[in-house]
Amino acid sequence: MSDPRIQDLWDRECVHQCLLRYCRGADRNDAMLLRSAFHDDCLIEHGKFVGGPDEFVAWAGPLQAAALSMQHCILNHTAEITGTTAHTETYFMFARMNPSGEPLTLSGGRYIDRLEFRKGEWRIAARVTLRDWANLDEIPAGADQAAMTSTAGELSEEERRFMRAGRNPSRDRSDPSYDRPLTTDPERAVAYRQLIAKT
Amino acid sequence: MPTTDEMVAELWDRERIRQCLHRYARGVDRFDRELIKTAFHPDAIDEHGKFVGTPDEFCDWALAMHENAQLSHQHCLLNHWCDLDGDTAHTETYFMFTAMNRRGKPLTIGGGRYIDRFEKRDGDWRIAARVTLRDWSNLDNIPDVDDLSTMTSTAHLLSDEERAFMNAGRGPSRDRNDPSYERPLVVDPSRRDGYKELVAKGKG
Repeated sequence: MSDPRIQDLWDRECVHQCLLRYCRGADRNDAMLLRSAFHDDCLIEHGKFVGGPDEFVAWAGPLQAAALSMQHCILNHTAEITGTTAHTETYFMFARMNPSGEPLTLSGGRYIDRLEFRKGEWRIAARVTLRDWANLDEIPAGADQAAMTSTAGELSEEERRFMRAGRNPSRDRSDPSYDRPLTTDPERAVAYRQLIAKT
Repeated sequence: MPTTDEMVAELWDRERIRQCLHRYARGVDRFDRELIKTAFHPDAIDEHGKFVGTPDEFCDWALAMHENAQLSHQHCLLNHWCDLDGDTAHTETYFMFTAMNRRGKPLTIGGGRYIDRFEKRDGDWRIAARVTLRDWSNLDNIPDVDDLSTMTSTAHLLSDEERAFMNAGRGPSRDRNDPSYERPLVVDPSRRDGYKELVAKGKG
C-alpha cells in the first residue's frame, strides 16, 4: 500500500459497493442485505419516513413486497473522501411495476449520504433521500417531495405537511448535498413516530 | 501484460476522467458554476446543440435555459467508454436527461451522448473539446432525423435561423461519421463564430 492512489481507489470502490448493496437488498426484498448498508446508529430521512435502519427495513419491507417488481437503479456517483468519512451524492432512477393503478412508476432523485469506515467496513452513517422528478400527470408545485413519491396518492394531509417540512432539493448550495458534515435531525424522527402513532 | 505500476496509473487516470464527468453533471443540476468550470480547461469549446462556446459562456447559457424551462432536472450518466492514450483521452458518455418542466408536459426524458476529448494538463484531467449529441426523447411525434432541432426539449421555441444553425452542426450517426470516431475530436472554430453572430442578433 505504498501508493496512496490504491487506497483511494479501494475506498471509492467499497463505498460504491455499499450503495449497490442497498439497492440490491431493496429490489430483492432482502432485509439482511438492505440492513447491511447502514451503521446501527444511522438516521435516515427518506421522504415521509425518518428513523433508524431497523425501523427503515421494517417500513420498506411491505412496500417492496407490494410491488410486482422494482429496480433502484444507481447512476451518477460523486464521493468526497477524507480519512474515514465519505460524503456522497448518488443519483437513482426508481422503476416499479404496480399491482394496481398506473402500471409503471418511474422517478428519480438522489441519495445524499455520509458514510463512515468503522471496524473495517464502509457503511452509511446518515442519509437524506431527495426526489427530483417523476412521471407525473401534472406539474408539481416546485420540488414538492410529497408529489414525487411513488405513494403520493396514499398520503394524508398530515403526512404531506410532514414531508414538506423536511429537507428539499435545491439548485443552489442550500441543497443537502453540500452539508459538511451531513447530519439528520433526531427531532424529525420523534415527529415521525408521533405521526405513525396517530395513523 | 502491464506492470502493477502501469495498471494503477491507468485505473487512476480512468477514475479521474469519470469523476470529471460526474462533477460536470452535478454542477449543472445544482447550478454550481464553479463546479461546472472545474470540468473544463479554460480554452475548451462545447458544441451543444444550438450553443457553441467556452465554459463561462456555457454556464451563462445552460443555467438560464434550465432555470427558465424547468423546476428540477437530472443529467444522468450511463455508459462510459474511454479511449486512453497518454495525456489525451477520447470518451463517449451516454446520458439520460430528466426534467420536471415549468410548462407543457410535466416530464421530459431524453438521451444522448457527450463526446469528449480530455487532456491531462499539470496532472489534472479536464475536457478540452466537447460535442453533445441527442439520440432520443419522449416526443409526441416521430422526429425528422434530418432536423436535429426536433430532438431538443425546447424545439418549439426555436426560430428558423436557430434551427438552420443547429442543423449545420454535428449530429449523431450510425456509422463511422459519428463524432465519437473522430481523432482528435475538434470543434470547428467557425461554429463558434456562427453562434456569436446568432447571439448578436438576439437569437442565442
